[in-house]
Amino acid sequence: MSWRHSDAVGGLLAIALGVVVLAGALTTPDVAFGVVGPAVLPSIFGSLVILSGLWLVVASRWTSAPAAVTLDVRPLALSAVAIAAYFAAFVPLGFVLSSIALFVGMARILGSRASARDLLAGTAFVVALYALFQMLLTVDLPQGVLPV
Amino acid sequence: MEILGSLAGGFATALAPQNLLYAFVGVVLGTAIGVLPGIGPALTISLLLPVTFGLDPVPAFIMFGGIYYGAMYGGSTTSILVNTPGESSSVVTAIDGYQMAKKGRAGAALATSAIGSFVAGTIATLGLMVGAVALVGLAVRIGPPEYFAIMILALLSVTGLSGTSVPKALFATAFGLALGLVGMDNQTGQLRMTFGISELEDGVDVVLGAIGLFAVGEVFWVASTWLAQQAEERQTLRGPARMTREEFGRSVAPWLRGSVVGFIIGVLPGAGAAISSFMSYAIEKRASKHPEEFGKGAIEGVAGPEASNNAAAGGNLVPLLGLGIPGSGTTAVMIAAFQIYGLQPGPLLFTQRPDLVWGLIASLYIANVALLVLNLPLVGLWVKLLDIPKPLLYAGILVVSAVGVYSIDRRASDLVVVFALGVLGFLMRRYDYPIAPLLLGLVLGPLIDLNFRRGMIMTDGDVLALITRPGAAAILGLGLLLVLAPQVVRLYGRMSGKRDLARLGESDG
Repeated sequence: MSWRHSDAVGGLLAIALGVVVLAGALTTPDVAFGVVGPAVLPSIFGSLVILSGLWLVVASRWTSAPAAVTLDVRPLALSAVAIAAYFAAFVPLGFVLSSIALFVGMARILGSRASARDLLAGTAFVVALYALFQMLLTVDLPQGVLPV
Repeated sequence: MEILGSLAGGFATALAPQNLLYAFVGVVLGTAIGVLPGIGPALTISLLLPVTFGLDPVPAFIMFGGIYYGAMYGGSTTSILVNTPGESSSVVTAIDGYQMAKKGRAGAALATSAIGSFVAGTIATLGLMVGAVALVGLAVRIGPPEYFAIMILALLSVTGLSGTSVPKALFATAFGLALGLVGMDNQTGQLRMTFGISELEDGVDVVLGAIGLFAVGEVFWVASTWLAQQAEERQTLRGPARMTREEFGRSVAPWLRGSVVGFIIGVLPGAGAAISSFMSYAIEKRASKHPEEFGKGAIEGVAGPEASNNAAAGGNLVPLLGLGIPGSGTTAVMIAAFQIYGLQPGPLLFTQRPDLVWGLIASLYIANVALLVLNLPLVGLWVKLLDIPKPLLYAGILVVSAVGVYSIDRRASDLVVVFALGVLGFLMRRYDYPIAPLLLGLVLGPLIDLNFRRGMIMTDGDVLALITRPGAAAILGLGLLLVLAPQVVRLYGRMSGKRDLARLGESDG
């Protein structure tokens, strides 16, 4: 069996996730209330996740790996960093500033070279969204550093 | 007669000018977001959920009815003009719809799909009314073991029908169920699988699941395949969306057949709009006098499946409203909408909040009319939405996602969960794991847990007694049949070289 087979790798990841679920289930204290305790179904589901992983690993011996499109690593990695940074800055920096920054950055990562247009479009979109939620729908969005 | 009285009450609620406005706004928003490429109905509803937060439950649900039908309809425009369906249920529409557009008949394809959606939506809403009331009558006579069995049935069928690999579907289902149980156990107050992280105590909200798996996952997917994506060939719409007399004549029977097939399939938990549109396509091809035109722009190939997937959307609401059990990724998100207002759909809601349930049903009729009235004249506007440059579109989706996630509980930690789910969604999509079972598991996990444990109290801890109660056993038997049947059909399809059968029912977003 080849460990480069995507199903084998996926299977191992599934087993790892299953072990985490099972660990979480087995450390749940059973308060002996009712017939079935709170840990029973999580344990079953965790075991099923592990089973699915084992199945994938074993089956990868005789199936060929599904053909996957080549990854564009650079835009993928950059967008992961951009989204992580956006989520981290969402509250401290505030909705308006962080969202405009993400909008312009993300558009650039995805190939846009019209930064002035993106900044304009992003600002208009974000401010409109802010007005809609904050004023019309009374959903509070983080203010951050902007004194509004 | 009682139904008619209740419905009249529902219409009285839904036709109040303010509520009527909400229904129209819902339809417009649902269609506008649903039209965007790569955005299916489950994600559309998740993204639009926060818009209803500031409203009272009745107008919120009336708006939701509009969003639901609008989102289901929106995908067809993209399929016909761009050939990149926004949701799996529109995959079939793209086959002949895009061919029609290439021949300059985009207007006719859009018209048959709009009118077909109206016919199907109306028939399905009628069926929903009768079906949900019948289920409510039945629901008082069934207990936790049967509820447990119905949910297992939903999972078995969504798993069995959701793709080609059984272990991958099993992973998605089991992991979704486990994820659904994270947080405080309602029955004992014990914390489960929180690993000491206090932010996980409230569990993982299904809206986080939908936004993470679909929206963030989709952005990762688009970024990773950016270079490989060829410039799409978009067909233009010339003139108004209209059919000739002949095209109209050829559409009528497919609309009606598609509506019936779609509704019946939609009612079955787990089998979604995608399956019904595949089946309708197969039926129309068989019924047609010109089967050779299929795949080359046969209007029946658009009319039937489009009617069918809209009718399935109505059918999906039967188990949701009648029993409180979602049968698809999209209705799983709908449950979240109820839960935000502290409501649990199901038989009790019919007696406790008839204004809300019947207002919602009446607003589905209104949404249907609104769709017909708005869509044909506004089709030019929907087409314009496809002009938004992709980089800006996906940047915008991320911003709206962040707002949606944050507005649920105003917790920044939810954004971390959504990021992790986005990575998971991307990996699952890349390596061909079905996502709908995960989302459904997330919602059904706590419900299965509750009914299983209650049922076990009834049978004094005897599992065998639980699953051999006549009702439960029959339902579980049906579930096994639903899992095994498609495998047999697929095997037959592969052996006899019938590709449409071998590909039966790829996952329903």
